[in-house]
Amino acid sequence: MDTETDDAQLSLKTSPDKLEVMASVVPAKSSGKPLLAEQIVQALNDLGVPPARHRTIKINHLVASDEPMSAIVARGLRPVNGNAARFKSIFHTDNSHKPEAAEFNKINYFETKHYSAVEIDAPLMRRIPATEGFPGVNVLGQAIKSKPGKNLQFKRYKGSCVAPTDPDLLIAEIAGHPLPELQGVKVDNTLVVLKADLASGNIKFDGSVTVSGDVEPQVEIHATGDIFVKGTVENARLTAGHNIVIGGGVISETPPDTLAPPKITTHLQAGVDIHAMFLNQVEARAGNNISIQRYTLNCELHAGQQVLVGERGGKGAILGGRTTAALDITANIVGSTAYISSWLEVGDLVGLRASLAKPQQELDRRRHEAQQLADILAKLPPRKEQDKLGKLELNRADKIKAALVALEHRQSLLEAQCEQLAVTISAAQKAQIVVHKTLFPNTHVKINGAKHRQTTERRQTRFSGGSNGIIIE
Amino acid sequence: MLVENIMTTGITHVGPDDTVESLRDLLATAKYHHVPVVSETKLVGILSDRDLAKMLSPFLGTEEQSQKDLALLTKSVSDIMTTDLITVDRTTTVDFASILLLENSISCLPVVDVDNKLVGLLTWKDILRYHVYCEPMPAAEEIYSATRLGVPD
Repeated sequence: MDTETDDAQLSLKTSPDKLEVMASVVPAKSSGKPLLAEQIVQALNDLGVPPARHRTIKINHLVASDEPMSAIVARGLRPVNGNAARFKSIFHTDNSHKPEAAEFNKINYFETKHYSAVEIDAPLMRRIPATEGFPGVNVLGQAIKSKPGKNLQFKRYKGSCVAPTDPDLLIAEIAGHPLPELQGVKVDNTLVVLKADLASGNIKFDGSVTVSGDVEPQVEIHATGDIFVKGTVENARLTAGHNIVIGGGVISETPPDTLAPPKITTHLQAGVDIHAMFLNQVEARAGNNISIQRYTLNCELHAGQQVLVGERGGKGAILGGRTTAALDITANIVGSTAYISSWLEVGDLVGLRASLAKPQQELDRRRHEAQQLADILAKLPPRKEQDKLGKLELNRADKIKAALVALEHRQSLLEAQCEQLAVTISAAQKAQIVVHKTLFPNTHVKINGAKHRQTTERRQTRFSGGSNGIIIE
Repeated sequence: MLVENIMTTGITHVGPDDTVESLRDLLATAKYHHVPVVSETKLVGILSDRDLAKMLSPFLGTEEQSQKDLALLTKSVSDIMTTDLITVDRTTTVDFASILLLENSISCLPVVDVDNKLVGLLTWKDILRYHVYCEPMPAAEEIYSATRLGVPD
């Protein structure tokens, strides 16, 4: 490299992470000496860059250029970080069904939900271990370590344990009903009753409840897991931490006077999904989906994700009432020839964003608390007199570490909740109402705040759009 | 157990512009030892009866009191309050709050919401009362077992 002004000039700069060497070349003036590729190679060698990291094509471009030019003449390899451990549910049941996509790419959830049970030692979940990633190398030929993926472990839930012979396999500790969680599976005790009536009384159970027959009027069932009813439900209240699956119909109290206004006296509330054959004057709230085979009549339905009314063979009619869902409402028929008022609402981005704020705020707080604990741990002096309480030795560090683990567990739950809500919010922007067969007048539609009242009868219809207006196809 | 289940609510608070004298009068009859300082619904500081005792002259109210001693009473609460606050929220665990109290050598934690609005106060006494009166009592034979008493086998 010559510093004479007429000769070509070369400068090399190594990036702070030592993954690249940038060469800047000013070509020689007419009387000056041109730059040779060998000079650049020599300069790289002088820097300690081994030939394997040289980029010969770029070096040749630089020396051939008539204009001042910069190019990366040596490049290292970035390390590829590993993936975090993943968890996959693997339990099987005899009557599990694979969901099928129907028209408009809707999944018929009704087909997927059946009562399932596992025996002791049945495999429940497989842990796919974290990967180490691949190391990189810098321009000086030095290895750069990759960051291994987070090595998540199974979380301990009631009724399951890690297989003694395989640390990546979770198995059932008891026979019961499996409920998958993010990093484990809970196996519920199951309570089976022939009928829920005066004889059984109200049922409150930490686990899943199966009613082989009907749920009689005024009975209340509360289960932390699923509630399965093979018969019908009349004038009752069912609350489940997970799913409510009802083989028959669900109705409210029949008024003694036929002229009396209809009154909702049956309430269903599920943390996940609700499935039934039909609903007649029922309030139903599901964290995720509500799927009804035949019809809903004057119901108040609210689904955290989708409401699906009608499957192949089912009439699938929403007759009156108010139906709301964060994402989609799908039915074969909405309204009736009597022009009954039916209110359908999807989207509600404002409400969804508000519901995201709460777990997000708590997550921020828990992260702050985890940092506080980490700071306390870092400042903790080595064990001596102050770690004693009278004659007892205090294990301060262990206690703080345990509190930190509890906080991390809570954080992972909140992160999953926030991720789920973010996905829902993203999907809610494409919220839609789909009517496969007939849409009757006097149907009120609201999508992400935009309103429409249907005044004519239509065949296959799809409502979409949002704050800028509703698109009707 | 979460803080919201055992914290004390309906807390008496003062404003930053209130005088030290009014604070002294408040604490003289109160059954509590800490007073949060709230400005426009937001928590801005905290004071304890110990903080107050440290800054006031012991000669106040005696024949030896000076003008300088009396002048201290006209100071604003904001002049003497602690502003380096360690707070928790409703959903903080009692375990975590206990560690904060012990490791920071403090005796009280203001409980705030996301807007830093004061919603309650948690003291070491609240936590002690929870452990003594709310947690299940072990069986009598277990209470006096060698292990629990720390007596070596």
